[in-house]
Amino acid sequence: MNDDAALVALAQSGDRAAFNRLVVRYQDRVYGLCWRLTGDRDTADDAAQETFIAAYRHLQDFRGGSFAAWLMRIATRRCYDVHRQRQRRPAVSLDRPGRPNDETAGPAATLPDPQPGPEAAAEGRELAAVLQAGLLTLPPDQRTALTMCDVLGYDYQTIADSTQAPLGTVRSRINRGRRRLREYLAGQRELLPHPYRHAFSEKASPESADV
Amino acid sequence: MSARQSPPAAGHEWAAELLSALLDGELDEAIAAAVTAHRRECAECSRDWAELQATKQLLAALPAAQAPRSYAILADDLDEPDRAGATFWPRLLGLTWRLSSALAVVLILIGTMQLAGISLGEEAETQFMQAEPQAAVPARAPEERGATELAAAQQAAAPAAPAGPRGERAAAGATGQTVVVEKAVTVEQAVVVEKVVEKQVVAADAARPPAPTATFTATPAPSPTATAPPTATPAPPTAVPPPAPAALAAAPQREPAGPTFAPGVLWLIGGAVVVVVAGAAWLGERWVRGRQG
Repeated sequence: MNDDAALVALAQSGDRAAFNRLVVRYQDRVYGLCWRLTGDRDTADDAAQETFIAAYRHLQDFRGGSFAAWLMRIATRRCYDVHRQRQRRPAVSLDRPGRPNDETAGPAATLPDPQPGPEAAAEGRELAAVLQAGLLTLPPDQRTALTMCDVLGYDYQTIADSTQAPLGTVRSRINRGRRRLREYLAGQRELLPHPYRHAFSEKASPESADV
Repeated sequence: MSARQSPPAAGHEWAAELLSALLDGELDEAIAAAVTAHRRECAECSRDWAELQATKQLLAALPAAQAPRSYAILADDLDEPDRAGATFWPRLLGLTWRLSSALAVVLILIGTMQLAGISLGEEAETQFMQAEPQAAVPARAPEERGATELAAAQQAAAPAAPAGPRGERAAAGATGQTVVVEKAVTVEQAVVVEKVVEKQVVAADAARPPAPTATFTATPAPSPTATAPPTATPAPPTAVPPPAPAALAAAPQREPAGPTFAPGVLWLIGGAVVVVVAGAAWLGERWVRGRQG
């Protein structure tokens, strides 16, 4: 995204509007990453907000390279900070109305859909919940790498830049994380949509997850 | 890419480790070809390949998340105080309540030990003076103790026992209790009393190496050979029985409420004050943080 560089340069010179164009460009991805990493909408909301504020404040520290990678790095760190804070004093919000794309919204998500849509929608929601739960079983490094790769579609180099890890480490994290998630899904096959129910063999060899 | 990829040994382990990278199109052509060749002839890798592919597809099919609101930086965000200022007060308050909580625990602990120590000391002395088995009461809670001693004083007075000093002491204990009950003592008084007691303690300590009674009772019990402490009155150096009453008797001239004020109670009052400070700081921290959002 060469366009990023121009906007970043403008923002660095004090153009807040330019920065906000970057915010609009990235806020869904940043929020999405935070959501997948923490598994909680409110935590993700906080983390995403803090990410952009921190990015704006430390904009002078950005010295070229991939702006997306830099932003995702801040977001990843924020996620773990916010998550830790919330674990110290958990505040489960049941009062907030559910939003679209809200398959992990807590207790409310398990209630029947008030507007029963097509069966596919319910299945999709269930699938998303299973995937989210599976992601949360991964170690943070693997979760981050796999989310950036498969959910957000970033290439290995961007992930390496963002996580400040060598390319080989990123490759290994994605391979292990994906294999581990595969094991998890194999154990939850009955919750998967039909086409995928037989995609996972009952018992993959346990070693293969650690190859 | 890395040295690990270059050997075209094409072993199973090697290929299995690169399956995901192959799936993601992140391998050089030659390496990709070698891994693919292995995958085709290896049953396990074929199955893994299919399942990893399904996993990737499922993740990619997750609905794209939408930010629940705009995270655009507003003018208000710019006017926020700088980070150092924003974190200074919560930090200071946080430190204050943590430190004062710890201090309160220490003060209350000392106070409790002193109160318990007084009864222990008295016990020992009573036993020393007259081997009456009933005198050997175990250390009790301060409230209880006064009552016990009051009873002991009555007992001692009734049979006209020759325990003069003991009677005095019990009376002192009884008055001590009234002070415990009437906790409404001004801080100034408390400070004065504390000073008096401190002086006495210091004097006693200076006069005599630490003995169990001296360390815990804080009502100095100078040994027979010790010279009289400067602030403590006439307790003659040769006096064997408890010099404590004498020392206590000296204090009233300076401060009426002073002498009967058990030092342990002072520690406890101090502890209570510090607890209040800690609570205030804790609430303050919450308030400040809450305001910052």
